[in-house]
Amino acid sequence: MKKYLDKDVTAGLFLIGLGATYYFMADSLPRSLLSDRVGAAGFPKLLAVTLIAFSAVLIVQSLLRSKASPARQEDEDQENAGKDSGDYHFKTAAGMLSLGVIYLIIVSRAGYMVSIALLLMAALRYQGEPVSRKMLLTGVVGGIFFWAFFVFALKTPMPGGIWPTLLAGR
Amino acid sequence: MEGLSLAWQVVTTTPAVFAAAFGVTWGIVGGAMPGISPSISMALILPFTYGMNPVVAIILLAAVYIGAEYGGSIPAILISTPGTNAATVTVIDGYEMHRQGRGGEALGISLVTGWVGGMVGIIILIFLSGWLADVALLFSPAAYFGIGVLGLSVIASLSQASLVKGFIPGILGMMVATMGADPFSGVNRFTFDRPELITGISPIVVMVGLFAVSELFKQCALPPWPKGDADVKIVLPSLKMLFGRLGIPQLIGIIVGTVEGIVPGAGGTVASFISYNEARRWSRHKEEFGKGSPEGVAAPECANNVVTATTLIPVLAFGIPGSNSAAILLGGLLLHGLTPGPQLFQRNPEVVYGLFAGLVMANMFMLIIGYFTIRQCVWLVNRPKPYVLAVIYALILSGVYTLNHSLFDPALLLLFGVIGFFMRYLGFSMLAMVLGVVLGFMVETSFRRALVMSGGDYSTFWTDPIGAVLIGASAVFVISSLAGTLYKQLKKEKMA
Repeated sequence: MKKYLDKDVTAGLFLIGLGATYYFMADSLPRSLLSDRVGAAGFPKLLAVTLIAFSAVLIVQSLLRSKASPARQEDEDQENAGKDSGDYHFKTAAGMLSLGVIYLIIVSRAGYMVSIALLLMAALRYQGEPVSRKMLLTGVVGGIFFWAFFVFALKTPMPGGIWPTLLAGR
Repeated sequence: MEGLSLAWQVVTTTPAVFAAAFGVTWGIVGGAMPGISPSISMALILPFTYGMNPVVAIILLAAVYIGAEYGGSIPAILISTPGTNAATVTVIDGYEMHRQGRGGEALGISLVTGWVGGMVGIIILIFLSGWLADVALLFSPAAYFGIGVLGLSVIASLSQASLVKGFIPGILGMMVATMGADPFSGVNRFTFDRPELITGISPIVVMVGLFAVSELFKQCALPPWPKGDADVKIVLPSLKMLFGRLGIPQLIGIIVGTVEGIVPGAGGTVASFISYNEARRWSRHKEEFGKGSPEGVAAPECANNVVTATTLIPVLAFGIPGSNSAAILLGGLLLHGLTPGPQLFQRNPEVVYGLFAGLVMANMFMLIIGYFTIRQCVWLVNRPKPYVLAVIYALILSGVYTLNHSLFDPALLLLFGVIGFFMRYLGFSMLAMVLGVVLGFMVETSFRRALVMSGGDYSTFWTDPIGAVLIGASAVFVISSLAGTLYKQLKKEKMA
């Protein structure tokens, strides 16, 4: 319960910081002679102030709730928090995110077909699938299928990586 | 007649039939997977529509939605796990029927009553959206500002547990919408010197990130989905049953589905719950509800399929999405440079009438594909979850790349996936953020245009009758939601 209250306060503080940064960035926008009366910065500034105000309300609500009776607090926690808060595993999600980031880093060098095959296998392994022929086959066939689908069916130039240069050199 | 001719032209000269068939199949499989909602099924396919003919793309998305609403009932009936939120209430009697060895009958009722609901919903959509669009032709920039504000006020009804947690993501969404070149002065706003941001952030990247990637991050740590009975065979209800015992529940589903579809923020889930309750109230077999009543399957399934069509009324007439799935469809329209609202009916009638034809085709395909491919669908859904998630991850990252052929979009996608994950965790409304993204531009530009036209006179917003009514209605919407929340809190305090 305490943990939930803390996360609302933390989120509120973060959002106030975000709102303030956004406000100062809007304030530093150049003024154009073509601009209308509101200007390029007018609407963003309004949004920033509103965000800060609502974030402050979120913090106050959270602090007031912490003083409320335990029974009421529990009810409100259930209503306001994601109803399935127990389903959120940050480390596992961070791992999956890392796989996506690594894919984005390597795809321009290793090429789309190889990278997507590696992503498929890594995502399977990360979710606990044992290294097996089925897993390797999924990666290889998946890589070829995805590449063929995007390049030939959708006519999308996917990143080729170093392969076109290597093959041309040979 | 002109509309019919345009619809026929779309059907005969584009691959719309193929799009409707594929969309329904994709939707049924996606909807049948617990955790993959209709909006996620649509979001997964959205990037691939980029290079398509706009009409075909919109038909594809709408067909996915229709298929997913039926698909959601498959695991609800077979494994007591709703594939979609709207199918939650179907579990009560559908699963009970399955336990009694009547699972095929329950699936048949879900399929046929869903088809009836979908077809009636389309007829209502055709009549109401055209009429509303005619009304919207009278709109001035001040009135468009009012429409945008009214759309944003939907957030209030989406977040009755905490209005603040609805409004904050709405504002964040509008902040995202301000990124890129200012439409009036051309000044680059919040672009961080990245050329990719000059045209702003595509709503698709935001939607796919918030809905699909965040769900994937969540699902990868959860236990495997239960498996369904691969030998199931659908048993269609007889005509006597359909027009006899199931007649009243279907009528209730149609009425409730129409109202809930048009009212922004309500959607299929609310419609299915209300229609279930009303069907029980009006039933001659009340005692069977909860113990395997066919009426308990018919009413909610009919209602949520009516919603698949009627939820498009505010999208097409005003550009206001009332549900996640409608927001994705709106994203599809925007992706192809189509502005929903009365101008869509004037400038792109082929899209509107093509969509109507596509919806009819998709409903027909739902009946055919749903009947003949149930075993294949269950087989696909029974694939090991890690394989399904790995393929979805690869599909999302690849699909978003195709938007601009830039790795910047998949990187943004992951960022919005992380934002979505935290929003889910904190209980913030993701649809509110999407509403902010898709309506933010319209709100800002119409506000500034109205001021330019009035010479900077702010009174234009309350002297324009339509604008004033819409802004007033938005205020009533927000205040009534606020009052409802306060009333609930006071009631709770009294009871404590």
